This record gives sequence, structure tokens and C-alpha cells, in this order.
Amino acid sequence: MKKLYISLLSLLALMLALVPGVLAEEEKTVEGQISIGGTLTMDDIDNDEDGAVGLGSEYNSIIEKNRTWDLRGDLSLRTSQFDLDAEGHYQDGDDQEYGAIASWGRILNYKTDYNRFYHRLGHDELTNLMAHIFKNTTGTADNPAKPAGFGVGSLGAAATVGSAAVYHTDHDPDAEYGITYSVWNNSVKLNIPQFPGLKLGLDYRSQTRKGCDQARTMSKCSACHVEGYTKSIDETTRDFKPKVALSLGAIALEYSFLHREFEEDSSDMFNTYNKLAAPKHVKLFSDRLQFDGTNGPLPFNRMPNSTKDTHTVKARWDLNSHNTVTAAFIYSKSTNESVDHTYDPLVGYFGEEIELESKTFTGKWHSRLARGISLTVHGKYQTLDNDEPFVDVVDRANLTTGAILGDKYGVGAGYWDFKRRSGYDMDITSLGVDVAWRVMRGMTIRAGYEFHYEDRDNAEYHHVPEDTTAHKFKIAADYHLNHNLRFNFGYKLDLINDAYALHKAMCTPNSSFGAYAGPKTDLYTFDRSYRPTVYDARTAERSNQPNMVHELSFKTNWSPFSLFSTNFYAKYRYSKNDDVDGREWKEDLFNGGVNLVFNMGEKMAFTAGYNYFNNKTESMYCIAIYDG
Amino acid sequence: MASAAWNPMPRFSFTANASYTMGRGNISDLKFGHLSDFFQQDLKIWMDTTSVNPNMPHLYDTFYLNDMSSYSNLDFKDMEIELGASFAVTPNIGLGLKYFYTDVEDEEEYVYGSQDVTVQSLMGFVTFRF
Repeated sequence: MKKLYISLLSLLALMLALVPGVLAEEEKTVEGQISIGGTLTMDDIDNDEDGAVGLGSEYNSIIEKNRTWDLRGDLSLRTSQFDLDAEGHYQDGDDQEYGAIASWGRILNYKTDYNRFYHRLGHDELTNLMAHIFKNTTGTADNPAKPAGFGVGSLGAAATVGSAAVYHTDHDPDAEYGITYSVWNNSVKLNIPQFPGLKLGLDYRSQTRKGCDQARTMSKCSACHVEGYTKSIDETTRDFKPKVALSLGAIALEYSFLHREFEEDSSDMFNTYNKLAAPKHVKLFSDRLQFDGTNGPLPFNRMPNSTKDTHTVKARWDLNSHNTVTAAFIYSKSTNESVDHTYDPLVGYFGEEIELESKTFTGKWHSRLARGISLTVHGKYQTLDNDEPFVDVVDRANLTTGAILGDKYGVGAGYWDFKRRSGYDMDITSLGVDVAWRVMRGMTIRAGYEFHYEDRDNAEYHHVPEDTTAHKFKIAADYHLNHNLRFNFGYKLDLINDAYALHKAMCTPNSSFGAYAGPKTDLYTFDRSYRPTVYDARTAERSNQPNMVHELSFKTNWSPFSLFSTNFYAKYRYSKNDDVDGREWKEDLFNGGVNLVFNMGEKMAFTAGYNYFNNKTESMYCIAIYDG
Repeated sequence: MASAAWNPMPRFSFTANASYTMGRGNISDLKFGHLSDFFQQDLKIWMDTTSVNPNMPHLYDTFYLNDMSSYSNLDFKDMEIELGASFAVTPNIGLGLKYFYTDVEDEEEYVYGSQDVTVQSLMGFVTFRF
């Protein structure tokens, strides 16, 4: 369809170009240009090469095609009742771009654009995931045989693969991955002459992602068996957004309704996981599993279909020439539509759709207090509420006793069942004030303060702080020394109490945690060392969020003479969190650069720029080496 | 980054753009000192599926973990050059030629292998204005 569009446009433009008598009129109703060309790619790379996903070709759709068309065109049409501006660019089936703006007597306005491109994705060969594989059945001096009593018979065909190992299987090693992305935006606006303050509108947006990507999944409670598959991608997102705006002098109202649909039409992915393999303890662990290879193929990498409905109401009231009040209310509901099948939490079916509800109130008062001084007070309140699906934990019978784990501990079946409570259930409140003061001619100072508060409903279930309070200060100065020299300075300070963190995230960084006791005579007993030295010792709180931030910024523009201008910019941010256990978390960021522009007259211009970015993060981890 | 435009004669115009990007990054000071009790550099795990490791303490070998910091090393150089020339045959018809050069040198390959790429493209076109 798009090829046809550009072809017709080009043909029309060419015909008009060949009839100068028609187009050479003083008042042109039609003008534009078309460009017909082609691209020859040399020293191209084979798509099989690793570099095909590199920086130089990640979004280049033509590198392996050698020769492609390159067609461009733009068209302007002006009549007394109708205006049209259109442009298009076609280079390859996966590299197209079009846009148009049309207006009928300024009553009906239409704007559209379409963009399509190809994004090459990498293929992880997984080859680094290979260690500790029990495969030999006969040993040598350097490679001893698998020890006697190593009970991995439950692995079936994979019986030669043992526990506490990591290995991989790439089921499609030669696959090349990439996604064709396209987006089509449309906007129609209707102005009704009989009602000058009334405007009606409709926006429509369609976005698609089609192609293939690599999907990975992993077995556990046997070996860390990472498996890679080729997954087809076929995603479509459609937005419908009708809206109406009414202006009644000092009062303006606006309402819009957004309905979004997301559909994933690719085939489902399934994997048969390894069977449980815990040497000598395979039966002990058999009642603690949720699933393994005995369940057969299980789905993974699912992308649910979903919808989102958003109602937005905005109001603006000009109290007088110096004071304006604006307010808005947004109600949004997102629905996961792929989980309402017959209840089976193992594959993500909960017998009903899952919804997320959000309500947001915002308000702002802007006032010009005096000549050169303005004040803005703003506030926001948002509440998020998720459904809480019930998760029925599988009570598997022990291979030896036939009893479930709950019976062993005297708690019965269903003891570990739970409601899945969302970490996003929270109330967010912010209040702020901004002041702008024109101190003198050429100098303006801006300052602001914002109070931010987050109250998490389910903090106790996620081992995170119940609430976080932040005080944010900022001040900036803009100084025009003269027409040729201008400075901007800025400073921000954030002070946060109880920044988002994870309680019991890691072992304490001192000798309070237990030391590894080393193996006993039974090489396969881990209870005595792993649990006390890893799980039980995990008591320290860590975070990657700061509780204090300093940010300095500076920018200057200098044009000493008409042919030369330059600007220099720099930003330094220092963040830290000393409210965590162990060494404090720190982050240093610097970004700076300079741009030079030489205008050597109308026929030549020269620009040069340099940017330097440096980011350094210091954090402390205590990584558990997982057994199996 | 540098760019230049030049119109030596009314019918001729030339443009040039060049950019050079150098990126380096690394993670340092990854320490697993508390695991020093564990067996180091297990000679049996040579990334070989036929290897055998029956001694469980070897499973906590930190040899590869301590090498983890190098996995995140980043070192690349990216040179982009674009040259353009156009000639107005008549006020309504123009000819153009563009040359694109991209060269990426990846000095630290990892998961996706070497990202080295060299691509040159030559584009020619004729433009009709109306």
C-alpha cells in the first residue's frame, strides 16, 4: 500500500514537472519535488557475521542487499478551500517514511505519518554457560569418573548431566534475529464554525513489531540448564482516542478517552524442563517442587493480550490576568486478558482477568505576584491498586512417603498458598512551589521545593520500606551579560528518607555471617553450610537508590563575533546512600562538552563538537553461589 | 563531530559530516574474598562438556566469578563520514551524489561476538522540482 502511495505521488509529480506551462504560473497551486535514485552498498557484511548487529548496522536494513532504490518526494497543494503538504521516502521494504497534513478550510484538519524500520537483534550463543558437567562415565587421572551413588537416574535421557551444573542448549544456533517496527499516527481535528470554542478530535495510532527474537528459559533443581529458542514476534498495539475541548472565555475544559489494545499473535513457546536431580536427596526434594520435567512441556515467554482505558479531564481557569488555576483528573484501568482460562497458576491462568486501576489528581496555581516575580504551586496525588490473584501452590507427593510437605511439618495442604500482592500498590503524593525572580535586566533566578511521599500498601510482603519521603530543592540562575554571552548555573539537592531498598538483601559485610564449614564426609550434604551461611545470614539492607543527591550544572553560550559561536556545558551529579548496611552506595556522573560553529559566509559552515560522559557506581554485593 | 557546507558556485554545493565516537567502560573491584576457602581454579572445568567434577567444593570455584568483571569491558571506536555533492542542471532538475562510510572497531567482544563493521554506500539521485 505504501509502495503504491509513493509511486502515485512520484508519477503525479513527474507528470506535473514535465508540463511547465501548468506549473509555471505565478500562483502555484501545486509545487514540490521528487527524487529518484539508488544506493550501492560496498564492502557490505554478511548477515551471518556477528557484526551484523553492531553499532554500524543495527538499524541498517540494506547492508546485505547491495543495491536498493531510494525514492523521495514532497508535494504542496494550495487552493482556496484545501491545503495539503505531503512527503515520503522509500529506500527498502523495511525502511519507509511518509507524512501528510491536510486542511479543509481550517475546519477539518488531518495529520498522518507512517514510519517503518528494521532493528537487528543479537543472538546469544550461550557458550559462556558451561561448567561443571558430569558427562563421563569412565574416568582418567585428570577427569575422574562420575562418583558411585550419584543418583541422577530421574534425568532419563539426560542422565549424564548432573546437579550443581550450568550448561546450555541453543535449539536454533544459526538463527538471525530482528524486528520490523512500524507505527502509523493519525489525528483528525474538527472546528465547528457555529461554536467557535468547541473542538472535536480523534487520534488513532497503530504500532506493530514483527519478526523473531531469542527466547531463553532455564531448568533448576537439577542443573542450571539454559535453553535458547527462536520466538516469533507479532505484536500490534492500537490506540483510539476521541477528545473534545471547550473554551468559554476564562474557562477551558478538555476531555479525552484513550482505549488501547495490545495483541500478541505469535505461537506459544513450550519447554520441557529437566527433571529433579538432587544426588541422594532426589526423593527428599520431590515434595518441594512446583514443576520439573515430569510435568511435560510447559509454556514460557508468554506475552499477554491486554487493554487499557484512560479517562482524562482537564480544566483551566484564568482567575484574572495574573492568576491561572489548572486541574486534571485521570482514571486508568489496565486489564490482562490472557489469564482468565481455567485456574492453573503453574501456567499463569487465574480463572479471571487481572486489572490495575490508577487514579491521579493534579492541580497547579500560577501567579504573577509582582513585576518580575512569579509563583507556581503544584500538587499531585496518585493511587495505584492491583488485583490480588490467589496462587494455589502445588502440593506434590513425596516420591518415598507419598505425603505432601505440609503433612511433614504438620501444617497440612495449602499452607503455602498465598495472594499475590503487588509491589505497585501505593499512594504517591507530591507538593511543590516554584519561584521565578527577574533580579535585574538580563538576570533571572529560579528556585523550587518539592515534597514527595510514597506509601506502599504491601511493603511487608516485599521486604521494602513502608514509605519513602523526599525533599527536593533546586535553584538556577540565567544571566545575559550581553547579546553575545549568556550563562546558566543550576544546583539541585535531594534528601530522601527511607529510599526504596530491600531488607535482608545480603550478608552483613563483617564477620557476623557464618563461615563456610567445608564439606563433611558426605560430599553431597549442603544443609549444614549453604542455609546458615547464605539464606539465614542474609540480614543486611541494600539499595541502588540514593538518600542524598547533589547536582551541579553549568552552561554558557558565547558568540564573540558574528562568524563564530560556541557553547560549553557540564553537569556533575553525586549520589549516595549511607542508610544501608555495609559500605555506602555511591554514584558519580559527569557529562560535559563543547560545540563550535563557524559560519564562513553563506557558502560554507563548519561545526565541531565534543562530549565526555563518565559514570561510576560503587556498590557492595554478596552474591550467593546457587546450588543447582 | 564536524560538519561543513560549501557552495563554491551557484549550481554546485557540497556537504561533509564526520563523527568519531570512542566508548570505554568497565566494572572493577569485584571481590569474592569471603569465598577464599573454596577451591580455586578448578582445572577440570575447561568449558568442556566432557569435563568431570565429582568434588562438590569445586562447585564453588570463584575462578570464573573473579573474571566476571572483564565480561563488562567495553571498548569501541565508531567513525561515521558522509559526503554529499549536488549539481543543479536546470532550476527544475538536479543531480546528487552521496557517500556514506561507517567503521566500527570493537576491541572487547563478548556475548554477541565481535561487533566490527565496515560499510560503505554510494547513493546517486536525480531530483525534479515543480
